[in-house]
Amino acid sequence: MPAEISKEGNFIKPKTFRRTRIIPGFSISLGITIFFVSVIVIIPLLALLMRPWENGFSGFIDTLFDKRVFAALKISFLCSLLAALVNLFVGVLIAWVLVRYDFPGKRLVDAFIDMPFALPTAVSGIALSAIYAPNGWVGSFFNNFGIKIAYSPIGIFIALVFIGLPFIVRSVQPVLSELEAEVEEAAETLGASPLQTFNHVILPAIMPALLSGFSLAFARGMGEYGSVIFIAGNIPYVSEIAPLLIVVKLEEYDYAGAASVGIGMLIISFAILFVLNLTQQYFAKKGL
Amino acid sequence: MALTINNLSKQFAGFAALNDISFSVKESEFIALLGPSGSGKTTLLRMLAGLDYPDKGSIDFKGQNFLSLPVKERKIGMVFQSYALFRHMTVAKNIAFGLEMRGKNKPKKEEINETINRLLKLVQLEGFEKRYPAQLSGGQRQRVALARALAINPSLLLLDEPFGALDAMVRKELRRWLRHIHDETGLTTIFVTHDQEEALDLADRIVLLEGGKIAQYDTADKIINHPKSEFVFDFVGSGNAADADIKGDVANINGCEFPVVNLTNFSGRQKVKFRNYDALISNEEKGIKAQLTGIFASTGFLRFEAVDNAGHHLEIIISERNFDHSLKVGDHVGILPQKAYLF
Repeated sequence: MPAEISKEGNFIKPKTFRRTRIIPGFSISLGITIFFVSVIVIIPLLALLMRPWENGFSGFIDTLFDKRVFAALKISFLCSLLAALVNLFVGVLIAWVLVRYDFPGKRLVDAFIDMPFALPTAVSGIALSAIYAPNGWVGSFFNNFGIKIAYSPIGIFIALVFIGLPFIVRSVQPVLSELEAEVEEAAETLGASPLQTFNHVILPAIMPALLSGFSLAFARGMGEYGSVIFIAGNIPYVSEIAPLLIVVKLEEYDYAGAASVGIGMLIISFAILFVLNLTQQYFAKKGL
Repeated sequence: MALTINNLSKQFAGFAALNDISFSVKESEFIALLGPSGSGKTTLLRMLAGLDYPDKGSIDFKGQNFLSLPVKERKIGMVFQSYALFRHMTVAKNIAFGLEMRGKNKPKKEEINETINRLLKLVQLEGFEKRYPAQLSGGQRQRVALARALAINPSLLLLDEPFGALDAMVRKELRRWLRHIHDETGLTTIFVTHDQEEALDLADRIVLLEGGKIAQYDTADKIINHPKSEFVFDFVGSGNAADADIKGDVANINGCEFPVVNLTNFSGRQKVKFRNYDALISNEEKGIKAQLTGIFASTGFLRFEAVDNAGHHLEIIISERNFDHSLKVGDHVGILPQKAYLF
């Protein structure tokens, strides 16, 4: 019997420990989380929401539906959506090849996927415009057929495909590699055709990853500036993107106008992300 | 014969995964493909399923040339080692998958539901139809995988290490149950295992593979009592080796005479092998002279470890009922084999 307990009236309570967690207590970590989300995300967004009202609500609406602003928002939205959609297909294909096949130089290809991610966007912009400009390698070829890639929405689209690709590939790749080949073989022995196997077995399994990759690529496309402006040519109503218009308005000291465009972009992005999130939750409920 | 396999061979990057395999299986037979890892047993099973192809040879199933049929037309029920269940589908959807994929020939909804219910009952998972695989235990997943394979009404059931990932208790229970399902459905069944006990306990006949070749194809009784090679003898149980004087079917070690299954008709001094349960321990100066180095109790029997004069380790097991309680560790004893093999 331990000595301190045997002494009557002189009982020393043994030291007890609360089970420690890897991350410090709930209250502290929640506090830090809320503080950070507020300071880094919510407060700046609120500040943005405060800005455009200098000319009243009608001023905000006028800016947003100003022909040039509206055209820029439309171009940004459509190009981002289209680029993300194209990346959806190409990204799955690339992820598939990287996961399922072995070929010489695979690691190199794998590393190159991240390049659009890692490069300063201005560098990507210069590189892309060098190739797609009317006097560049690819640009001059298409120029023969009267197709202008740089200084047109096609250029914006190409830049956004370039920027968005790693988001899809990197979201889908780990999920695909976790999907055992045996699952596909099982579908095959049960009589499924390759198309049925893809639609009923593989696609549902990678769907959540696809959606989050798509959201990331789309959001990035909406906000992309550096890589686009060099190749876009920035012709008002034709190839001017919304982020550029913000910069233009800021240079004209039209802070309210800049903020109005910003809020327009915010609404579009938020709506898209919200819908995608809901879809993802739907899939999560189905046990994925 | 339901299934006839002839001269099946396959090379993988220079080494022979399968080397001239030929055997045949009767209708409704339960066959185990047994062997150590790398013996080619899984490759063989995958060829039957159509997931792998041989370089040479033929597979004939009920008059069909199997090698000319793609996987989906072979109508094979396959249970994979990892179960390969579809994670995003409920148990019911998993089971119905094979029927749902039939396109124009898809059965009516009521028919599919009927099949699901019948199979859930068969695999004792009634009430689990709405669960997802992630909500099931290993044994339950295994049963879902089996139900899914049976749903397409297969003519041949293939199982790859069906009990590999389960703990010992569940294993034994599922083993009996699988045999029961086989007997009930009458399906020709082939399963792969590396566990000799499982194969001997469960199968009608066992294909024992060694390095891509068939070492022996026989019933459990024949494999245990009439092994055709030293490999077969060693693979299905533990044994001891000793030098003995051979004359025909009789071996003699130091005055202890015992019958020997002499496969090679050698005579004179030869190395023989005997099972750890085919020997007695005595205090007489006969048989293999050895010293006891350990006595271990187990359920129903005792295990003795000993070292002979040349330093070879021996292991003998003796039923508790026949145990001579005067034996102690360190005693010098004579080990008397009762039956031995000469390969």
